[in-house]
Amino acid sequence: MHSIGFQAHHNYGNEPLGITVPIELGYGRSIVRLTAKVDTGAEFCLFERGLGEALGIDVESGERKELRTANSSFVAFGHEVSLRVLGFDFSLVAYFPLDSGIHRNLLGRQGWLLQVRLGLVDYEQLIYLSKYDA
Amino acid sequence: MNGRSALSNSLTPGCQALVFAGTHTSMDLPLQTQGLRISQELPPKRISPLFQSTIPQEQRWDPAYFPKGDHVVVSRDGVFVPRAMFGQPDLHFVTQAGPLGREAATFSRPSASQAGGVFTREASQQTEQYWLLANRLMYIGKWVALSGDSLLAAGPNAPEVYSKARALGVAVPFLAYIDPDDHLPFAGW
Repeated sequence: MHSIGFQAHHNYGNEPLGITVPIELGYGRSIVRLTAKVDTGAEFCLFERGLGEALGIDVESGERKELRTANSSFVAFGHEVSLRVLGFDFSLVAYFPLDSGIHRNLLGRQGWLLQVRLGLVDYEQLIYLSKYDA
Repeated sequence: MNGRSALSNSLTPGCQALVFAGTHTSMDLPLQTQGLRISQELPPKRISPLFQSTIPQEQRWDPAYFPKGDHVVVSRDGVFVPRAMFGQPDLHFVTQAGPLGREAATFSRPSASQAGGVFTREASQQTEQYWLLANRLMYIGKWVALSGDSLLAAGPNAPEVYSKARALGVAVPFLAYIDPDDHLPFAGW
């Protein structure tokens, strides 16, 4: 028998958006709220370029990285941002794509999944979350 | 069970625990159930004699004494808090005429635009999702900034939409791009 405790949970509902959580993305003194997909298959956290620009980020000045998808690849730039997910705060490097036509907001492994304990009961549309070191 | 794990759900206030039962006894990990636990003592259901003597019969149905929804009423007779509001932050208040010509202070939750609290923001995010589902066809290919069910700004340029929303006094707007392909299932990357 294994038992894991969680401090927060969220019902993501039966929405076409899938397994998503409401988050707050911050850069400096600017904060925006959005919905992001929990993506255990993504190596990094990725947010739309428009969101980064709205927060005042000079996207292309960040750390350049080429990321691959199932059938292609794209260039993205890393910036240190703050994130609040279900009441938990994170500081991490998130990536913003060069292409403003990429409209995906993903919570991936580096910076986020590595910092949390995550439980998922998709049958009930429930996601459970704690900071890893809580 | 043979190689499969059973999942059960044990909830305590402030802490949810998923319990996995399996056959991997050699790999048993220490239980990690140190999530926040809050001891919550509920008031007795029976009305105490003291309470009964304080509130006259004719006031027991008065919403100023037994408020509904998100209002807390403070009057000479005491503070009346709907059960749903216990423990919630970021209350603000206005004074207004209370029952029997007395002044009463009414506490309520601030609107999303006034709030800095996570609770209010996350609550409004559900409203915003409903708004997106109901209105997405009118804004396909555009960015929208919302606060609850209010559209603050819309347009093709995210920074402009964000700035307009902030100019309206909403410190942390909800921002979303209405993707024409949102109706298609997502196959991952």
